Amino acid sequence: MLLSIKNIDIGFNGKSLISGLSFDIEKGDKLVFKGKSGSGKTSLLNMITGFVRPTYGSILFEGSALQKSNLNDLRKKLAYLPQQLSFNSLGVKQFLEMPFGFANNKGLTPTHEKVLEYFSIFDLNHDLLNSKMQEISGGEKQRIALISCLLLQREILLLDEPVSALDKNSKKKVIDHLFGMDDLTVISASHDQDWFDACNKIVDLDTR
Amino acid sequence: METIEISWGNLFFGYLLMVIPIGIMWYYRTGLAKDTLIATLRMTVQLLLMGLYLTVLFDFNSAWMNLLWLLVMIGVSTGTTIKRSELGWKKFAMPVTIATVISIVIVDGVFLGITLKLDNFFDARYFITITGMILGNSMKHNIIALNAFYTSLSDQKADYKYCIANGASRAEALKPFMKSAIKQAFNPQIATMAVMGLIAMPGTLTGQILGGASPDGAIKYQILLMLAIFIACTITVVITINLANHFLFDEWDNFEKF
Repeated sequence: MLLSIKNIDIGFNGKSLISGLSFDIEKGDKLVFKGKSGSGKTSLLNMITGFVRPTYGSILFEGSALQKSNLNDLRKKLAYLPQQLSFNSLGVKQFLEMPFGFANNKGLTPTHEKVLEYFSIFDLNHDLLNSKMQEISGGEKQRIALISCLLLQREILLLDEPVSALDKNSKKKVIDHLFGMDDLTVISASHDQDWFDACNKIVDLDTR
Repeated sequence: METIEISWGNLFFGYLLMVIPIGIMWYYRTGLAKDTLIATLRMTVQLLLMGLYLTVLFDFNSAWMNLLWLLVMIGVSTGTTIKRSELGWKKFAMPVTIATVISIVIVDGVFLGITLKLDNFFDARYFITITGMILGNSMKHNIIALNAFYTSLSDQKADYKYCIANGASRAEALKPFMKSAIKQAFNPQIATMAVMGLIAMPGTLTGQILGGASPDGAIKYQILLMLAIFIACTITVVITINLANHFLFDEWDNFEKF
């Protein structure tokens, strides 16, 4: 088992948000957290990245309880796409290069051809590489941020509302590509019915 | 060269001229007329008090008394920095104080001890005035940098999380925020240094010349102060933020409310 969430509670400022939730994630799973705004979808993604700690219960990563000692091992296996990235002062090219400047990602720097290949897959104009992050549309930014995660070649993708700003055609391209990668584990939060239909596991936070 | 003594009667005409800016503030309904009036009064009272305590400090010229003054000023500067930056006392009091002390020790050590080669390191005439300039400027730059750093970190939490979750160490993830804070705090100072002597008469130079010093000597003091201030401000800002971050982030790289 890649990740096992056992009977967790999440709460903030004494208020309970999620209680007694359990689910398992195996390699290659495409899991989505479904629920209305404020139901705890993003908090669950943040919990897996270590940004939110459950007030009760445990998270098992490859059979061991997630602690400071193995948190970095988990983080090295995942790429995370938050919902509202800014990086407005950077150019698109600079943004895509940035994670490869981190010591942990040395040696993973992708070729220019690989970057352009992803741009083509997700129907993005190659000239966007010369734009500033603040100049591009929400949909373009969302796909570029997704490309930055894919370029890291991680085993697990954590995606917060990955298709919320995309039109039908762009959304189909993203879904076809991600869900065509059998070994890739995708853990996501979404409101999108097409995304739900493509996932093999749904954790519905509204019906609990 | 004799300095012309200014009588309170003559200075009154200067106060009278304040009617113009206050009138303008009032006419345009800026809401600043009352603030300007209060600020003018506060400036006068505070400078009168300063004149009194400087006279006492200069007369006694005691190292202990000057050090006590320094401690009080560091306390005031720390308090003002935290209050104006709207940050928490618990987590910021120690970092701001330590950073200020370190920058003063380094900069005073070099400029008072080596450049000026003072026989009495704590000579009030130099120690109080130069350290006071350094403290005031460090506080100003620290407030700007702390505001910029923690506001942008709070507003762009997603960017920080993106970096951490995608392989960055905490220092790597915080680097863009630090860069932006340093730029905001120091750009105006760099611009001031770049045009100094071209379009403005610097304060120390003017004060020294009015006090009877030769332009040549006054310029050297101006350079000394500009260097001392810039170095002290940089040290204070970088140490404050780095130290504060030790208390603000947990071992999972989460940050708490500031």
